[in-house]
Amino acid sequence: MSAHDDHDHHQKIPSDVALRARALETLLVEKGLVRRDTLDRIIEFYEHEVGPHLGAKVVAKAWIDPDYKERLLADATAAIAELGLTGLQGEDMVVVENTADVHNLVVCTLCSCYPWAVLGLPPAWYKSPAYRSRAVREPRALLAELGVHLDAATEVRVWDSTAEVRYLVLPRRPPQTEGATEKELASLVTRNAMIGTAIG
Amino acid sequence: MNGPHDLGGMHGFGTIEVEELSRIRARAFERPWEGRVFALVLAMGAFGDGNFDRGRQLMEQLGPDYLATPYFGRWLHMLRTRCLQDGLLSEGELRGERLSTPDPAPTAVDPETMMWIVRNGASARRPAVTTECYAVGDRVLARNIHPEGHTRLPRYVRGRRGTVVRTHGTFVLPDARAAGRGEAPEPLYSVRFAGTELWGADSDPALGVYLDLWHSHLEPEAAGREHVDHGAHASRRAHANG
Repeated sequence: MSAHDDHDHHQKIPSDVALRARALETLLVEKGLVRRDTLDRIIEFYEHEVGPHLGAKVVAKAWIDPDYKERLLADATAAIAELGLTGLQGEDMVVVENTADVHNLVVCTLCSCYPWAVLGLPPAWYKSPAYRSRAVREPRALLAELGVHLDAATEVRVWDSTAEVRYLVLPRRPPQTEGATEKELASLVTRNAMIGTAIG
Repeated sequence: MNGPHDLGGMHGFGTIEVEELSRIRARAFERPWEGRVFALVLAMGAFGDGNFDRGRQLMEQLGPDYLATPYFGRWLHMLRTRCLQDGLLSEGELRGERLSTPDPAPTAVDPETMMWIVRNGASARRPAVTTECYAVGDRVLARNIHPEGHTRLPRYVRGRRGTVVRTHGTFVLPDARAAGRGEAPEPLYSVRFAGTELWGADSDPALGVYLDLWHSHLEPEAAGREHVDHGAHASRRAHANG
């Protein structure tokens, strides 16, 4: 089964699963266990308020402020909290740094653990069996398929998120950005670079 | 459990489609029902036992259906099952029969309280419970165990040798909490396994795979190879110390 088949399969069944989801929501609301305004607020938050733009702020600050970068690599949870970023699936953070010799990649082979508080919810591919199965065994081939061609000598470090510690990759600062402001730098940081499936 | 969720190293799942390479803002939900299920799980956290470890175990217990069920479909299965097991809903109610009225009436979480939880989180870090820990640089062996219940020790590292590269502190042990055995906190470590140790001599020589593993997932490297010798060393050391 390829990721594509999985996607097609996904397309066929929503009517059934969507109906069951709706039925469960109705029951829980009628029993007084859940409020619809609470559900709406959660969805609004994860759709519009939290996302990779938050992680990008962390990265840009680390690029521009060496002291911050040092704190970030030593105690990511505290350094990220300095920017007001805390929350579910971001309670205990570790930041790993890409260098000229080291490329980092984050995965969760057992489920789909992901740093919600700084990146939002994970994209579909991060949750796919293809990514979860291959990232730990052949990351270099996987990355090449995504257009990330690493030198054979570049050390690849794959972080399998098996606990409640959440990982964020600190990408390398792009060349020729010496004069850029922190805000400009943040706009250059992509979600995938902070997972490790892209360079910048 | 040795279930289909434990995907590390498996073959046959094809290539991945990274369709949103240039998009900085992720799309949280592909379809509206996914957001409703996600929100239901979070909002129901206060009723019954809503810990994530148990939730993951319930999803893993989908067995053969695990891979055929979409991601948030697994969440829906988990929540339905949990509601039944915790007595929050009955089979009859799920079939559309008349609802019973909970007594006392539950207080559903309001948006403000929910957002406080979302913004503050709930760390699984706990105070240290033991001074017996591995240190950075220690060589360890991931235990070759096959528990039938939930575990965060994936199959692909069991029986493999690694090195402790970071100590995270003490954390709730999911293997215990999922099984209803309480939090049983233990030291948690980042352990590096060489690619060649995991996948064989002809695999990527410049690959290191790092997993977060708990104390009871590990044993000293020598102990795994020579149990008897380890015991002898330990008693000699105890003798010398005494």
